[in-house]
Amino acid sequence: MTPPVSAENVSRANGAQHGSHSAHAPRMIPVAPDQHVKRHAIDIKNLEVFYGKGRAVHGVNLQIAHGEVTAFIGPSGCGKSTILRCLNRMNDLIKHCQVRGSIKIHGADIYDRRTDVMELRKRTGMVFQKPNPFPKSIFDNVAYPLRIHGVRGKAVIAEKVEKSLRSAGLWEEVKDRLHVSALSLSGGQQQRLCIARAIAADPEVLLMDEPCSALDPIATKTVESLINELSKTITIVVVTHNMHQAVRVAHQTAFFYMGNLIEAGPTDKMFHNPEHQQTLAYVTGQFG
Amino acid sequence: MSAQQIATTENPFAGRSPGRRWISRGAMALCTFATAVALAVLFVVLAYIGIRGIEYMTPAFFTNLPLQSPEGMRNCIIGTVILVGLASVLGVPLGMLCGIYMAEYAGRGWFTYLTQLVMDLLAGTPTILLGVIAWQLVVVPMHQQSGWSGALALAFIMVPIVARASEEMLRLVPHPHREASAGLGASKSQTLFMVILPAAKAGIATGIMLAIARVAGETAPLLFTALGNDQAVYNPSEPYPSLTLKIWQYSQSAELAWRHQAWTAVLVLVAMVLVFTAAVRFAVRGRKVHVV
Repeated sequence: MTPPVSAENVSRANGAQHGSHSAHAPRMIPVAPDQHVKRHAIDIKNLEVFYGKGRAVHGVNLQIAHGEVTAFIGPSGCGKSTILRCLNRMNDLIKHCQVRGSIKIHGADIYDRRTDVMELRKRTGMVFQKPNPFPKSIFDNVAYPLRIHGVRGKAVIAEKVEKSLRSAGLWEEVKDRLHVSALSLSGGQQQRLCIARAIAADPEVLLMDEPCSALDPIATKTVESLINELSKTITIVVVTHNMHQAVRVAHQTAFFYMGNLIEAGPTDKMFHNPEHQQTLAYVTGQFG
Repeated sequence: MSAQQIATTENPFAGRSPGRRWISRGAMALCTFATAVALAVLFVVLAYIGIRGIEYMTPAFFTNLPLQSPEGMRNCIIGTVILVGLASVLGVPLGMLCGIYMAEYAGRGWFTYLTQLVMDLLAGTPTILLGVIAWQLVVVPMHQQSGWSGALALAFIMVPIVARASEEMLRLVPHPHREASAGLGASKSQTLFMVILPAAKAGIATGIMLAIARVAGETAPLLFTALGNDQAVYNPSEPYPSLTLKIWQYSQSAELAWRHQAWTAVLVLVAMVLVFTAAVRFAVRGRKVHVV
């Protein structure tokens, strides 16, 4: 799971010691001495989320590494999905939901008033718990984000659709029936279609909200290997109820409980040698 | 036999109510009977219209005007089509926008509730009253009965039907579609036009169809607005010919030939609505082929 040493990583590590990244304290994804400092894709500071008067998230600080898979784990109602949905401001759609604190993606504060939410969501794809393809053809589903963001030209769109479907590992299964309804696909295929749709507009970050919870084990395996494949180019945050899944796919894991971030770190450490008793209790199945 | 023995010999799944099966059969029979009665009434009406209408139907009915010999209702057929068309042009967009507003933008607050209430009241208002309003709004200032006033009266009838149907159909579109679209960076209007409306298309089309079928048969609101016209006049600024007005006029006539013409006119009107309804259904289904 440890990425190979590269000149780039080393130079970033040096840079971090002298400058910008050391300013990000407290660092909630600790960097072990033998690891390389990575550029942070997402920087969450003092995040608080309220639903009406109830507080769902209590001052979370978390940095999410660039180009890695980070898993959010924790029992139901711990706030992990809420935090995920803050990352592309999907919570804006919920009435009475109020967000405080700051979230920076690649240095830009997404809750700044000048932020264009549509551009933000274009750059942070999202995959939902239940596959939610549109009642359109397979092709039109994947072409949709391209069309709404002004991509014109049949050939360009067709090429992008094929590329996305290939990346989602679905191309071979659907290339002969691109114009049949997406609803005729199986659940696992639908979810991969949704992933293809989410990555069609080349997002930098992919948010996945329990992407496998509605899938059978074989489809889950396919989606997990897809996550591994995609993480080579995209930063991925995946909320999961399945701790084995976190172990299988995530480089980093963050454990939430009752709206608090309890602990975050490399997945290996989180599952074998966590610093907090609560984390240990959760990952060993004593509650949750 | 002891109680124990009975328990072992009887079917333990027999259930508590031995009459249950008979009650079920009785209820089923009642439902079937009610359906049959309703269908029978419809069938009798349609059959009677069909028999009487065809009996007096002549080619002249479709080619000639009311005061020609032999008499016909060409202008009334065309007039009804144009009148309903004008009413649709006015009423359908207004009704759809209203429905879209209620379902997508207004939320579930008191204003939506009030709008729904007003729409339902409007839908239940006697149509002759809507005719009076159109008369006051158009006929009085123009000093003349006209196609415009008739179309406006019919549009008033269409708006609440189209609005409520659109609203209900839009509300039926699953929320995850909206979430998925927003999550991809679509604006609200993009989501509406590219995802929600296409998904609700068939249902909204059915609502529009119902509204059109409904106003095609309206007479009362046209009595003092469109007024009727025996000439081939299709300028909406003048009194306008309409099949329903002609049916109303001829059906209470002492002239037997006119009453016969009224039967044919009824058949033609029913056939027009049926053909139109079937065509729209077919068209909507045709475009939905790839949607399972």
